[in-house]
Amino acid sequence: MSVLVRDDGLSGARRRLRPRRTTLAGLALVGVIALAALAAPLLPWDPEAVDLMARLEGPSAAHWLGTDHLGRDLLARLLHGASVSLGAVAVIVALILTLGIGIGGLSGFLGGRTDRIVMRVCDGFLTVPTFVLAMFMVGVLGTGLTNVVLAIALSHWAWYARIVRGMVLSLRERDFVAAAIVSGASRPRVFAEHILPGVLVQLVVLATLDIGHMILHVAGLSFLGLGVMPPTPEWGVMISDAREFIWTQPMLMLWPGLMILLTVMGFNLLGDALRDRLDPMLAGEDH
Amino acid sequence: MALWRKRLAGTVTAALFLAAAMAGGQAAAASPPGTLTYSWSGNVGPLDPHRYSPNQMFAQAMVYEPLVHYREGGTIEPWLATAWTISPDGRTYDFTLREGVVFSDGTPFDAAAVKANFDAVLSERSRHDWLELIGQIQSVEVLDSRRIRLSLKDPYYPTLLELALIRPVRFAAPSVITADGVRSPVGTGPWMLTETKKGEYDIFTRNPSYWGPKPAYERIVVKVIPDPTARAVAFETGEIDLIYGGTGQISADSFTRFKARGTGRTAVSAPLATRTMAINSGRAPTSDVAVRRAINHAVNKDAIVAKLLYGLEPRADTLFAANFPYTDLGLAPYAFDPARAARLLDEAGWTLPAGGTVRMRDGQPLRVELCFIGNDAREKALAEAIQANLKAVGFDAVLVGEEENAVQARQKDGRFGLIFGDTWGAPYDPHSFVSSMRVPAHADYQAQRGLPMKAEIDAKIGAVLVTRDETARQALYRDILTTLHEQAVYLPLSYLTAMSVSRGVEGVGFGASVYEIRSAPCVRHRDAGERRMLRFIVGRLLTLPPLLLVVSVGVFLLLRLGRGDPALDYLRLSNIPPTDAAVAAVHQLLGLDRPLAEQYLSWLWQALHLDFGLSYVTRRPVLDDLLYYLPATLQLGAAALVVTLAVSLPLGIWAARHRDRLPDHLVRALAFAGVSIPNFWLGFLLVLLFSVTLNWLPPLGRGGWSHLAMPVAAVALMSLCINARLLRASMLETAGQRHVLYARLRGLPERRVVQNHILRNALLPIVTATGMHIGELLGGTLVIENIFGWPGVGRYAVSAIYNRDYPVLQCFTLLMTVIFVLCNLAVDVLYAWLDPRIRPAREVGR
Repeated sequence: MSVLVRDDGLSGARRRLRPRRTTLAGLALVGVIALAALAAPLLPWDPEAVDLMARLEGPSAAHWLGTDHLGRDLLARLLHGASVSLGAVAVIVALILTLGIGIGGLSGFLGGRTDRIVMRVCDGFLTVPTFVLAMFMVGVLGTGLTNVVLAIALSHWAWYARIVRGMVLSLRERDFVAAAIVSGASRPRVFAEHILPGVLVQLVVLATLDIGHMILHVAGLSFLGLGVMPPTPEWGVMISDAREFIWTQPMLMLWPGLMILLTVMGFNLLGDALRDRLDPMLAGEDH
Repeated sequence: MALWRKRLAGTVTAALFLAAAMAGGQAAAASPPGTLTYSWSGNVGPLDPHRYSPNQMFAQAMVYEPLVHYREGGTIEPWLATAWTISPDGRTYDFTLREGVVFSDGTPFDAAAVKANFDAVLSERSRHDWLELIGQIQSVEVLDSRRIRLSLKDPYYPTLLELALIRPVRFAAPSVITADGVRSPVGTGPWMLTETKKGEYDIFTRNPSYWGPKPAYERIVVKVIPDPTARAVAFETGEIDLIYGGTGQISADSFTRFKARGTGRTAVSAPLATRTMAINSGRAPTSDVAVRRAINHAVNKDAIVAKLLYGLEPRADTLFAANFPYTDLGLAPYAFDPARAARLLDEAGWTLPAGGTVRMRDGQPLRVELCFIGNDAREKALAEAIQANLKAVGFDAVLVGEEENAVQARQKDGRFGLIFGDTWGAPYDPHSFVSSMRVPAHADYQAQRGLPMKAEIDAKIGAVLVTRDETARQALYRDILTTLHEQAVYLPLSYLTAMSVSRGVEGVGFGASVYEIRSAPCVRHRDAGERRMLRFIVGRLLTLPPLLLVVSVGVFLLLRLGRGDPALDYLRLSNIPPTDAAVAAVHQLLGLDRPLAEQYLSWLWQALHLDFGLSYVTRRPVLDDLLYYLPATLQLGAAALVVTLAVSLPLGIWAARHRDRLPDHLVRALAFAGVSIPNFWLGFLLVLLFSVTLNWLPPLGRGGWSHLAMPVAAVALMSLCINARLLRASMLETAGQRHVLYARLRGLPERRVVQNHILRNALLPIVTATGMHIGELLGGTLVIENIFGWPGVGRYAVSAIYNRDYPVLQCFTLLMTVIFVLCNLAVDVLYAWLDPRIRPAREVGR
């Protein structure tokens, strides 16, 4: 008999009870990267200190991972790159959640004409492929990290607004919300106390699953030269800078790529774990 | 006309080199089959001898020839003119033309042809403002069929030098000259442009009727390779035979590596021009001479030369190298001396506040904008090094990296503190370069604007160009150059050199066979519900126009209300100063003076007629350009989609059928890594492995299947991994459903159960996800194109963003949206086909 029909009720339940190794790995990865981002400014190395006499050096006691083409400490740049990436993503997520909850929530709660107009606008945003939309937004706003952050937030918010609206619509019909309205609670209060908490949990799970994706978008736009301005260390720019030295110093390119890979992987693992824990409805069978 | 300026020095010599080598020079021996493959950062352009960008100088020099020829060291030799006489007052030049010269279309080169070309140049004098000679020419007369007379306003001494320039005084056949430039490139030179493929290559063929020695090659193929790294890889893998030119052709790192490893024959030229920065004397704080001198003392040029320029360019202490005419003046260099720089700043009142790192005066920080071209790796590295040097003496340099056009705009209107700008090299230095210092649209004018003696400098420049007394000329040059040096309005960094790497043709040719990609997998045979299906499709189609309308309004509004006035960008990209009159004229031209709604409607009306306007940069219809590049992008995207599906389906099925065993673990691990890898990084890893190390696959370009392999892998990996994961999960879920159990109970063979009852239903989420992946694949393609030199819309769009070329950006966004929407429509139809609940009457598997 095929393995496909094996009953896995028991093993599934068992798996859910103790933390999986992948969850721990995700937590560890994100924890380490976050720690690096927080600790980067406290470390003695200056990521922007140019020393032309010590450029393209291999690992040494002074520079643990060596130096880049301007003699800047690679490790310091990688760590500061973590704060740039995580900082950017934190702002993006905050913006998306605010826009998503604000616009989507309002649309779902008010309904009627507002809802129809808002949803058409959302449709418009959802019609354009996200990366193309992000490129367009950078074109409108201009290059630079702030604008890239705005562009990515603006190209993602509509997904969230849609989801929030859907949740609000379904929650609105539930008894406890109707009860609250009947008992005379004001609309904003009903929203804040009864609807928002449920929405927020699901959104945070979704956002965590999306963070990896957003980090890749920030790095991709920066790689194209549309992101941060020098000398700010950012992983995508570091990869772009390192292309010249792909033969002589391939490690210059490998390290920042590896940092992106690990960070994205960490957030993906964490997102999956969060989803399985907090939101059984979304939980997939793929673990 | 600043467009040609930056790469000028390199291109002059590149042109001379190509002309020489191809006339039977040293490169001939190494290369057997008669084709030389070279590369350039873009296409050579329409090749109008009288115009500038986008015409590439090296190519103009291959097709067109001058009256007289400039040889190294500044001597002039006969070329299309075999002899000339200069009248005693220095104002009249009589030229005797060479016998037996014909244009490549067979028409004769005679005095009438020369006159026709001069007329074409003189009819657009303002275009050639930078070149004093054009302003000096009063008349051009035909004396007889072989003789021509040039009359000048003043006895302008560099006349012959400027006639030798690659542009604008070279000669096209009168038959192709129109009021709006030449119709096709027909010259007297050794080469003819025979084929151009935008974004890919240009081909030159030997001119059979050339009067001079025949070139050693039959053909020259000039491949378009914008990226220096890609160019180096292309040489290494034998895709091109020759790298030649000034800065930026390949990185100094690649060059030194080629030299050390003996990859090809390497050579470096003597100094050709000066790599310098202009320091703005018209703006605080650099309006203070002490600050400018401090900058000169603060920058460690030796370190920059040794480390960033790999010792390939000698250090520059003065604006012009001493080997140019009139420039050997023995000026005292500003030595690297941070202590002295600090002292100068202290004395000027710029002091370090306690605990601060930036000097202050009167509450103002010592801050200056250092402008460079953002995607020029070398300028960026230099800018960062200079920034660090200045920081060490308490000077805060803010780096402003922008697209080339924006940097040129800053050069013209003086919005800079420090800005890169090379001198022009022989034969322009010093006279043309000095002459241009009087033109307000030059960084040099802007840099000198604040000097108290600027009027005096300009008067001396005017005098030096027309004086007929050699000692007076020397004295005037000494005055001008000494003043500029003492006022420290330049920060000379190094003397530019050209480098070459060459090798005989071997291995890779490039048959550019364009092939079709199979479209996405077909749906099965039709069934009885055809009509309902049709209705469904039509219904979905009808939702598209309103959706696209919403998008078009959004795109239009965001662009109009977004950033600044498009008219300013239009003017900047046209090299027109943004005077009020010019802005008003452009407003009218582009319809920007009308109400927004009206503008939108007229735009929409034109868009419905497939007219999306002209690009601000190329002045060609935007849609034509985009459609030109689109097939390459679609090919890559479609191939990636096919690979995504073709690989993810077996992987997902394999994993699901071996749940919790090795294949399952393998696939899940791969999928997990795959969704986390940045695609552009993966692209480089692939190049590193398959092109550089193993030399199995070509690193860039579009051609056969081998060109497609790496870009497709880089684009497809992420979607592929997501799909495999999804299919596995979906199959496991379906396998637990009741209808599958019933099927098994009915005793159906396992294979049929899997195929008919599990796979078919498990595919539904995959189909939905594919709709999403198409967006991702498109986005991935746009990035990956930039790495693999893939001639698609991605590269075009990125440059449009840099240039703020709004019509391109607008059309690009809409075009991508339409493609995305149509793909999603196809996916929906596929879904309806597969899903029993939507699909019309047919046997359902439960």
